[in-house]
Amino acid sequence: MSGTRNQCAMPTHIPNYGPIEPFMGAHKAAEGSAKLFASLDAALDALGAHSGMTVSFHHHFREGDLIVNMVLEALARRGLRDLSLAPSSLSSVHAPLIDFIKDGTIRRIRTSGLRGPLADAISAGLMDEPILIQSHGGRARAIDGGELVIDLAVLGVPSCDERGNASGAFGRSACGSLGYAMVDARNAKKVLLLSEEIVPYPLAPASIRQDYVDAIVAIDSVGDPSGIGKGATRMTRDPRELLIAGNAAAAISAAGVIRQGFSLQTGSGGASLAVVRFLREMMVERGVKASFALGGITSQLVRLLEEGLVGALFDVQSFDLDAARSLASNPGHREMDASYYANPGLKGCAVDALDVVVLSAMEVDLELNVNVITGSDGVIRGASGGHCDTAAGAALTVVVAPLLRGRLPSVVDRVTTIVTPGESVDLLVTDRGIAVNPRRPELAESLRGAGLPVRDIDWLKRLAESYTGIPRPLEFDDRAIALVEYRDGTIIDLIRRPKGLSR
Amino acid sequence: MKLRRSMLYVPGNAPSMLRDAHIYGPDSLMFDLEDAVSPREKDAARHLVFRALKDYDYEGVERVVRINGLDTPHGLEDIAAVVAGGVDAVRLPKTDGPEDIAEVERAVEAAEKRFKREPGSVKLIAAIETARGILAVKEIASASPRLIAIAIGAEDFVTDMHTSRSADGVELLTARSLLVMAARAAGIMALDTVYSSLGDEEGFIRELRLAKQLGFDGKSVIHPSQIALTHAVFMPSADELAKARRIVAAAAEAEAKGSGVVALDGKMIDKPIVERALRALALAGEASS
Amino acid sequence: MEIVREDSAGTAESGDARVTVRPNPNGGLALELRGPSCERYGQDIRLVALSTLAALGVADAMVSVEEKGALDATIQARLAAACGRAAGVGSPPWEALL
Repeated sequence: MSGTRNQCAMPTHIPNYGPIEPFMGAHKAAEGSAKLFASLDAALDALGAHSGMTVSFHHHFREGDLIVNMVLEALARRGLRDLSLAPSSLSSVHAPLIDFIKDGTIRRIRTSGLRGPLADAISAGLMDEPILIQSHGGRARAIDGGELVIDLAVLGVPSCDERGNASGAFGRSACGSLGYAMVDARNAKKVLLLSEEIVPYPLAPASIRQDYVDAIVAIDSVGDPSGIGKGATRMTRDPRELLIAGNAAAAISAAGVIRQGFSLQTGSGGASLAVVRFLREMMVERGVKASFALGGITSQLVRLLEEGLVGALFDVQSFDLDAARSLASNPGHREMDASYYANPGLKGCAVDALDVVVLSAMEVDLELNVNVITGSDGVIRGASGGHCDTAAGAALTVVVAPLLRGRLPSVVDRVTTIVTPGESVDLLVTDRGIAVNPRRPELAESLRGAGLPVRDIDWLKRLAESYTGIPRPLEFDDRAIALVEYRDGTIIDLIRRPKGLSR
Repeated sequence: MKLRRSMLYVPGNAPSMLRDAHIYGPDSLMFDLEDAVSPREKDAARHLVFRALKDYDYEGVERVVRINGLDTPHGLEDIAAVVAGGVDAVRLPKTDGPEDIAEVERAVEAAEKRFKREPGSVKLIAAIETARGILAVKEIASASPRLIAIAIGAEDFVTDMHTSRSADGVELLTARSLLVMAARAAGIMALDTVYSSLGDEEGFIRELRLAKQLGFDGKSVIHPSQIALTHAVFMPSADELAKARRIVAAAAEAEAKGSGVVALDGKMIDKPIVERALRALALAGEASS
Repeated sequence: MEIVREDSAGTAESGDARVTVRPNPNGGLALELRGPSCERYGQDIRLVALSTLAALGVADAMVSVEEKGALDATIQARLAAACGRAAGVGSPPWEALL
């Protein structure tokens, strides 16, 4: 059917209004299955995958992720070249990308984290262009702010309906929150979902909405469940980590943070997670409840929510299946996207409302700068994550680390790489004492008053060296292998190639 | 007053635990060369403990080493290694009579001479783990001026007694009481046995309270998580402390006045009560003036 | 101490070292170091190993140290234990190790 009787009568210009587009006939809505493609290749054809484009992924399947390798293999098979990869993070499972970098399929990478053989190879100079390390908030800022234009977001999801409403909370490979993917979905030029299950319309509530999704392909498996997450994150039983966690909680208490309605975030890592246990005891004892907890959510935080000790959880990434289940069933457990979480470029983000954050560290230096990206050998093996975002946002930033890991001191003259600047760190809690940022003398006073072992950071460094000896300085050559971006888009550090490593 | 509320076992063959186990705040550390180390690894553990004693700074926390018995091929070499390393006290397992103490004392004395350590500087602790030992506890407790404490080892003892450990510890009651009594008579400390059900906090507290009530000075602990509870139980309560402070103040006042009679709230205070108050303050780490 | 057979001491656990000592048919000392701390502390570890061997009076041996973040004290202890085993000496010269 085409044309109506109004058509000839309708002028194309209306006085005092301007030009108009006359009605040309009702377009029948596309068939429900129009977004469904039989194969990844068919979808890539339809979406116009091309050389030089920027492809993004999310890392909610963590070490279980099958999507990135699968898609890159398909793109390489099509003969595409010079791709820019913009995943929210990469891990050890992505070692096969080495070949796609070597053959020219991939030219550029920006990511929050990098580990395993791919990290080793890139540290040794595999890529011509240095990679860009972004924080979670910094990545969201770049995408929402239009600085990072994603041509194609390929988002693996445990389940979606045929119109593209997707959720991470349900299905065999449930990963909980899709917080990092949500930013990609709403900004990318094209969005392709790879889903393990296609459920009847409408899937609700949807993390990724149908109005952003261009194409869907059903695949057998998005990830290996054992790598996606365990049932519950086990509380550490390591006495050293418990000692650090107990001291951190005592310091937080001494700082006066544990009052009615306070808010908190704890990072991943044994000691950092264990702080929740000690805070919980204090909250129960004093009858204090927290208003909200943020960030990567674990079973310990879910328990606080269920006990009514925290009013709400805002979940950008669910670290275990308990968290995924809670997100699916508990209305107080809310999904949050990476911009809402930590984007410094919009009109407010959740980290700014944090009273306290507890973060892990690989190295901390005399200025309290923190490294969470390079190992003591200068090789990349970590993730920027939300480290600098939460440190900048929280009123009290607590970094926890054992004084030594094996023979490696955590407190050093100068960190190998700065990810979080010392000016945004208030406390370093170790198993041998607590260092306070000299800009917070009143905090040092409170901690001393509570009988906590406040130590000069330089004293901690010398104590570490009394065990290890003085480490030989690392040597690097001139080759830049990575730029470390601060959350606001400025470059805070440069990672050079350790001497002796070569392609 | 030196406190020995908690003595933390540290396996002698675990380098990363030996490094700085004092950070968990025990009153004493006990590096174990005996049951925690398999027969094949005795030599290796001995080297580790020797270096730990010699090289690591435990910030003043007492370092005790539990050696292998002198009836084993390891005991004498253990003594040489730990005395050379600078140990504070040697803990002898399975002490059955004063002759066992005498034998260790001779070896320790020889080692002090050999490694040029001050004679008599190495102290001894005797663990009693058999019926014979308990029946000889009075003689054991006064067998050597080096002896600073006697301890009961329950697992071996109940086996020797053809019984097993129960929740209320009735099978240990006589042995514990005799041991504390002997320690008091000899003017040394009495240390209670380990509690090995790590998950059972309630049972642990029950046993701590029993030990404290029987008069023990402290308890051996097998995990850092047991230290805080141990100290909490062996620590006088806030009420006890407040009262102790008033009693000690009253005693000081009486002494200043040259009066032999201490009175508080119109009541006479006996000397043992003042002593108990002083002990309570010392346990709480308050200087007794 | 004369090294008469191959033997070792220590473990591959974090914070430990596994030291293997064997007779050196060519005479003299051959020292091989491997492990995550070698990059930053290799020189220290080498020096402490050599001084421990000297203290033990071991002049001819092939020594391999596989460290997993071991501190000097641990390397010394593991080396001394391995040498004692490989030399069949039960009573170490503690004075020399002081």
